[in-house]
Order: sequence, then C-alpha cells, then structure tokens
Amino acid sequence: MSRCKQVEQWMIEARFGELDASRQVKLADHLETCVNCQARSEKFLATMNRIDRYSRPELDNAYWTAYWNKLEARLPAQKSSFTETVRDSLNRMFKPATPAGWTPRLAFGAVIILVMGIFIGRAFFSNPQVIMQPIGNESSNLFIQTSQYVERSKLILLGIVNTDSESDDLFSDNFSRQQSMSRQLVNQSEPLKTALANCRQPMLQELVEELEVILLQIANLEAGGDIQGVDLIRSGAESNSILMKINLGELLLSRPQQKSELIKNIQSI
Amino acid sequence: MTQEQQWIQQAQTGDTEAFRHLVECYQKLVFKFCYDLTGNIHDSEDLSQEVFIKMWRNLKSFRSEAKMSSWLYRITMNAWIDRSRKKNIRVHADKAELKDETLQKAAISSGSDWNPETQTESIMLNQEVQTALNALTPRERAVFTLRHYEDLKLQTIGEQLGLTTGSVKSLLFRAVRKLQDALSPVLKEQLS
Repeated sequence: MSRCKQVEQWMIEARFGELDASRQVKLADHLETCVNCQARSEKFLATMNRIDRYSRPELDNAYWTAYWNKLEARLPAQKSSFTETVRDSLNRMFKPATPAGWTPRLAFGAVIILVMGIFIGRAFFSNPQVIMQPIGNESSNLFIQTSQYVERSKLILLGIVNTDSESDDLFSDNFSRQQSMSRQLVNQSEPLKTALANCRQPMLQELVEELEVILLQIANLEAGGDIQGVDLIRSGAESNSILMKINLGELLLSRPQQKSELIKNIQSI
Repeated sequence: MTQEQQWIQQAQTGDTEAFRHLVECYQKLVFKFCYDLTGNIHDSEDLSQEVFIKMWRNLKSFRSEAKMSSWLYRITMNAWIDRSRKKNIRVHADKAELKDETLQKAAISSGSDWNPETQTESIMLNQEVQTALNALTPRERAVFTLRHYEDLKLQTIGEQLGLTTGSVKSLLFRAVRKLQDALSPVLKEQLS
C-alpha cells in the first residue's frame, strides 16, 4: 500500500483519537512534505467540521410524556415459560463458575475437541478396508484430484482468513483472484463428490461438500470489499473448524497416495 | 445495589412502573442514536420504541453486571440493520423536510444567536449532512455514528456489532470517504 494511502487512514484514525503516538509523529512528518496529503487533510477536516455542526432536535417534556404513553400501549406481556425459568435457574447456578465471556469460549473448545475426536476416531480406528478400499489407478487419480482440490481450497481460505486488516488496504479489500479460483473449484466439486461417493469415501466427500459451501461464499463476495461477507466466511470457518478438518483430510489423503505410489513402484519393477 | 439495578430486577418480574423509570433514564440516549441512524423524528420514534419493546421482552436475559447503555446500543443497531435489510429503506432528506416543524425546532435549539438567517443556514446544513449520511450503508452509518457522535471506541463498536476492530476501521474509513464525496460540492461552493 502506498505511503499516501496509509497516511489517509492515519488522518482518520488521528481525528478520532485512535492513532498511537509514533504514528502521529510519522503523520505530521509526512504532511509537512506531501502537498497532496496536505490538501487531502484540509478537505477531510472541512468535511468533519461540517458534520460537527450538525444538530439534533431537542424535544420538550410534553413529547416525552406522550412517548411513554405510546410505548406503554405497545408493550406486550413478558413471557415466563417453564423453559425460561429452568434456563434462568441454570444461569444463576453456573454464573460463579463461568465468568462473563467464557461460555462461548468453553463451548467452542468443546466443539473442537469433539470434532477432533470424531476425525481421529474415523481416520485411525475405523475399518481400514473402508478407507483404503480403492487403490486402483482410477482411485489413485481421484485421491490426487481431491488432494489438489483440498490444497487449493486451503490456500484460498487462508488468504481470506489471514487478511491483515491493520496493514492491508482497508478501503478496498480485493479478493478477485481468490474468487476466480473459487469459481473454478466449485465447478470441479460436483464430479469430485460423485466420484468420492462411488469410491465410498464419506469423510472426503463431506470435506469437499463443506469446502464447496465456503468456496461459493467466496465466489459470491461483492466487489469492492464485502466486509460482512468476509467476516461471515471467517466466522464460519472458525465455527466449523474447517482448517483443522482440511489438515485431517490431508492426513487421510496422504495414506492412500503413499500406498498407490508403492503399488506403482512395484509394478514398474 | 443501585437504584437502576433495583428497577431492572423489578422490571424483570413484569413491573411496568420500574420499566418506565428505566425508559426515562435511557430514552434520550436511544432516541438520539436512532435519530442519527434514521435522520428524522418519525422514524426515530418508531425505531426507539421498537428498541424498548425488545428490551422489555428480553429483560430477563439481561445480566446485571453488564452495562445497560451498551446493551441498548446493540439492540438499536441490530433493529436498525434488520429494518434496513427488510425494507431496504434509505431515509430521504428531501426538500419537503425543510417544512418539518421539528427540524426547524432543532435548528432553533442549536443556535444560541437565533435569527431567521441562522435558522435557515442550520436547516440547510442539517439537510446536507443528512443527505451525505444517507449515502452510507446501515453498517457504515452505525459505525460512523457510534464513533463520531456517541464517542465509542472502535474496539467497543466491534464488540457491539460482532466485527473485528479491523473491519470496524474499514467501515469507518469507507464512511468518511463517502461523506467526503457527498459533501465535496457543498464544501467547494463554500470555499469559492
């Protein structure tokens, strides 16, 4: 990002008292030397000055008396169901043990442990014949295709999840490259899912399905920086532990590949 | 226990009188925020009343250690964003609003040295800013209003909106850019 663009962000942060001291010095230094930024700063301050002069209505007491009367007429009866009573009692019981803000973290932790358990269990302790069943040339290709699909999806997803809002251009998050790659992958997902279903690979099929949903979300991001969309993808990826599932999927995929390579080597000998 | 906490406890049991005291404490704060979001008195009244109805309905889930004003900001923002999504409303500060008596009252109250000229100027200025604010998306407007008019920190706004601080910053920057673009003809005129 160019220096002037960065400085423009600093100007705004400084105006709202959110810029740290070291950057304030850098901002002042830059403004002394850059004529364009000086003009930009003047324009910005004039805009804010205009907005500061905006006034809100001061309403009299009669208005507020009428306000309550109108509100009271609209108030519905408060619900007091059995479930609410039970929930309230449970909340009170567990309140001392779980400080504010910890409940979602604990729930998130529990979900991660549960998902890890399921994946590890399926990957290492289920019937190996089911997982390792197709090792012919066709299925070997399938594993390579799936592996590439997962790897490319992972790269796209990491690009989105790890966007650094502090250093990247916050005026226009541009994910056009990731979007075009996502579209390509979405087109590949359907045949891949069918092939995985035919080869009885439910875990990999499920992984491809989940990735397809995320890739669709990425492909459909609005142009010019769809912050809400990006946040939705980030939170979705976090809550689904998708990156961990990808890693486990890769682990699973590496085993048949190794085996198929071994078979190829034996055949060549 | 503070008086407010007592009212909250009583209101949680369905006591409307205690709830009235709570509404009286926060009605101006909520209304002001609603006015910044909607830009007119009629919609502000409707939105703020919706907020208090939601507050009444969900008061049982309110934890006494939380800050009531933060909770109300959150309810207001969600209600505003929901409304904007459903109705896709963009408040239009058109010329008809110049005749709005309440806006004129606002203009009168804002100027200490009242005279017809300053009154008209104030109305025009409010209209210009309103038009500029209407160019923002609901989220941009909520972030800008909370930072600029309500003086909440970016981190707090992020917590309220369920966004990262970086995203809030980004929304604020975009809001400022749009406001600059919308107000630039006025500013140019002023300078010339």
